[in-house]
This record gives sequence, C-alpha cells and structure tokens, in this order.
Amino acid sequence: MRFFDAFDRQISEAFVGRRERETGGSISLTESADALVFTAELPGVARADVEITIEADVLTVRASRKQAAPEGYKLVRQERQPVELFRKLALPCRVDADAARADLSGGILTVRLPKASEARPRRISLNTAS
Amino acid sequence: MQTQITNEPTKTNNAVTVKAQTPTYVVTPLLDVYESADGLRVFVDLPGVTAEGLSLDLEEDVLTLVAKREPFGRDRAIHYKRRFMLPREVAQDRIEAKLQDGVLVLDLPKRAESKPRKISVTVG
Repeated sequence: MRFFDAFDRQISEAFVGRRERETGGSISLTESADALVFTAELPGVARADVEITIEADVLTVRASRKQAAPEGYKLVRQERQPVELFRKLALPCRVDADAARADLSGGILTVRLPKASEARPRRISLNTAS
Repeated sequence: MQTQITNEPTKTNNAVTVKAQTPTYVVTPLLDVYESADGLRVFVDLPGVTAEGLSLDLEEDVLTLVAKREPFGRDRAIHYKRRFMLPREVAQDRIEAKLQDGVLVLDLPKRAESKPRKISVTVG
C-alpha cells in the first residue's frame, strides 16, 4: 500500500525513535494524599481481556489485545504492535483493596486504589502548653 | 524524537503576555490497513482520544488526521498527526469513521466501478 506512505515518509523519519513508545505501552503510577492511581494505554483491548489483582502490596495487571483480520478482509499494511501488558508493581503503601475501582474507557485503563487509613497522612496537632 | 509546541508570546497594549506553556508531544499514530473486494478498513491506535478531540479532513485525495489527547497519569498531552493519500478507488463520499476503545476505525468503501468484476462468457 504505497498510498499510506506518500505523505508520511518525511514526517515519520523524524519520529522513528517514538514508534515503540506509541504502541499503547505507556503506564504510570501516581500518588495523591488519599489514593494511588495506576493508568495504562490499552487501545483496542476488551474488558474481558484485562485482569487486575491486588495481593498484599502488589498490584498485578494483565491485558492483551486480540488483533485479527475482520471477516472477509486481508492485511495489507501493519504498523500496530500487539498490546501485551503484564506488570507486577510493588505499591509504595498499603491500600484498601475492597474499595479499589477500575475503569477502561477510550483505550485507557485507570485503577484507583484508596490508601489504607494507616497510610494516609495525618495531621498531628501540638499539645497546648500547660 | 519529540517536537514541542510552545505558544508564541502575544502582544497586548505594549505588554508582552506569554500564554501558559503546556509542553505537548507531536506523535505519528500507527495504523493497520485491511482490504476486501468492497473496500479498505483502517485501524489507528489513538488511546485517550475522544470524538471531540479528533478531526479528519479530506482534501483532494489527502486525508489529514489530527487528534489531541489530554495529559493523564504522568504523561503529557499528545497531538497525534498523520496525513495520507487515499487510493483513487475509494468512494470519498461514503467514508465512515468511528472511535472504539481508543482505536479509530475508518471504513473506506471502493467505488462500484473499481470493484473486481467477473465477466461471464456466454456461448453464442
């Protein structure tokens, strides 16, 4: 398919180093005062193909994309890479696994893990001078 | 390799105001192309892009895709940009686009006259 090349050649040469990164592999874990939030780019991944488990302080996320030719079609150009995610992350603090929530929308997985109460910051007030 | 877009400073009443500079990556999205007798189907990975943030413009035979992804997690905002030339056999008035689970699916039907046709031979 030379047609899909025509305009991109000049552009893509500048982005060669970025190609790997753009296959939906970006993940991150951020922390706020009351929760840890894990996000991952999972374009085209079905809900049924995502598995999330929390055991003690370890978050495990598994996801894969089924990428088959639509019925009656044959592949003529392939740039997209398979999406295969398998991560075990040691969480920096205890979380309340029962209150965890996961959402997959627009190809982005968001897992919100509220911190266990003992891991949340607490303000200690000074005793009043007596 | 990343290109950063920075806003040009704008001048108002002799004072120079610099707009908030949000660094943005410009990225070429990856695509797969499938073909059948009736048309082409193109899949473009655009995780995190919403329909409002996506524009597709067709001029002559050139399709320009521009999409914006808001920053999420620790990732910065991304501008996806790609231009490509469509084969002449594509019926441009019947192109369909839909966004499913972070993947743009483009249906590019072929014009009737460019579909393969079997010519039957009759014995006369």
